[in-house]
Amino acid sequence: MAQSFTKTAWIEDITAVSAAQLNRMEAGIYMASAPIVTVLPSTPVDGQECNLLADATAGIVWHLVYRSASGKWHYTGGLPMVSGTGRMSTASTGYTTLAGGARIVVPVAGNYRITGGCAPFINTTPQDAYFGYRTSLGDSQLIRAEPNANNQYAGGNLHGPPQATGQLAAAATIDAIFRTSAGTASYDDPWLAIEPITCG
Amino acid sequence: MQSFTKTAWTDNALPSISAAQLNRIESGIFLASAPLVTVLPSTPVDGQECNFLADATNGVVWHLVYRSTTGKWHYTGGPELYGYIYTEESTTSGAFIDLTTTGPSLTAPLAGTYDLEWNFRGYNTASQNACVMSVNIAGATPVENDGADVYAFGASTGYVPTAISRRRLTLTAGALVKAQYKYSGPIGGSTSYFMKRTLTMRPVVVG
Repeated sequence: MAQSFTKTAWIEDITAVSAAQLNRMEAGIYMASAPIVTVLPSTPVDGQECNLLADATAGIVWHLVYRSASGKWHYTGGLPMVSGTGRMSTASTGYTTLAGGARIVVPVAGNYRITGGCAPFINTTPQDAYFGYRTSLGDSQLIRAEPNANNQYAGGNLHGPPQATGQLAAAATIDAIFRTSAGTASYDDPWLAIEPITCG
Repeated sequence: MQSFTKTAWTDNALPSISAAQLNRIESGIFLASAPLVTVLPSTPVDGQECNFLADATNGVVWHLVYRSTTGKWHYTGGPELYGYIYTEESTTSGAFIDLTTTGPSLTAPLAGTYDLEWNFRGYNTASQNACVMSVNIAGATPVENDGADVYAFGASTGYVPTAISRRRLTLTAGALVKAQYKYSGPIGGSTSYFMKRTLTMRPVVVG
């Protein structure tokens, strides 16, 4: 666990300037710095911080702090990466991706929280419209909606299950997936979002 | 809280290095530091920061900044604490109870004000009856009006996701927040089914 910076109380003509004192101050400045980086620092020390440019296009920066006990960078602030908009439909009864569907490319290896949502509807009752996401860890369902009348909207935004079974590799993709139990399921503005819990 | 004001040093010109200048630099370094801690610093000053390890198991760290006028640490970033139970379980109770798998439950790591959110997917076997999920705070009976709920429009086994219920509550350090469940409605004996039960906790101010 990183120690707090301990101040020296300098007294004129008593406290001597020394290499040790200057190195202590240099170390304090180094630990207090959180540079903007595109690659995580390679040899971090406990408590070191950085601001990772997760998505240069959208301007997404994640503030991370390194914990030596876990060997990971822990997320302490920023905005989620988000993808997805538009209306799409499927008659597939097996999960499938759709043209224009949400896709997020993981910027750095890590354990992520994935959320999503949409407004689904279906042209046949009583059938179900499904919406979820697919990663290298497998498929996960976010929404199963059974509208109570033809073409009536149902559903909403839900948290997804945590990615507790393993971490995603850098450049891994997260795709929105869709299926219907029968008939044609349609989706308005299906979106996915990710925030890291730990990286590295 | 003032920003750190830099001194522009020039060789062989004022200001010279002095105890006052070095103490100013020491204070700047101290305030810019945000150490990773498991216990909040005991004598903080205005603007001091820290990274608090809220949940070592799941790697959850909260970035906090101290504000002397409130005497509190204010949350400025980090993941929420997260509880999740996938398995479908049910109850016929009209009073809040635990399901077979208790929870999700979360413990407040610090005294403070927290934003809690919860939701699930479910259905009820009786038309016009509802499945209700609410939270038990440190043993107190949940409030039905705080509940996330699903109403059955007709005899159905189709899951419906609830809206996310959200409440801002003051909790003591170590307070256990536990989700509980019931049915609500005019028809007795119906069965409420719950799955994908989610509960999250994020601080607002602590300490």
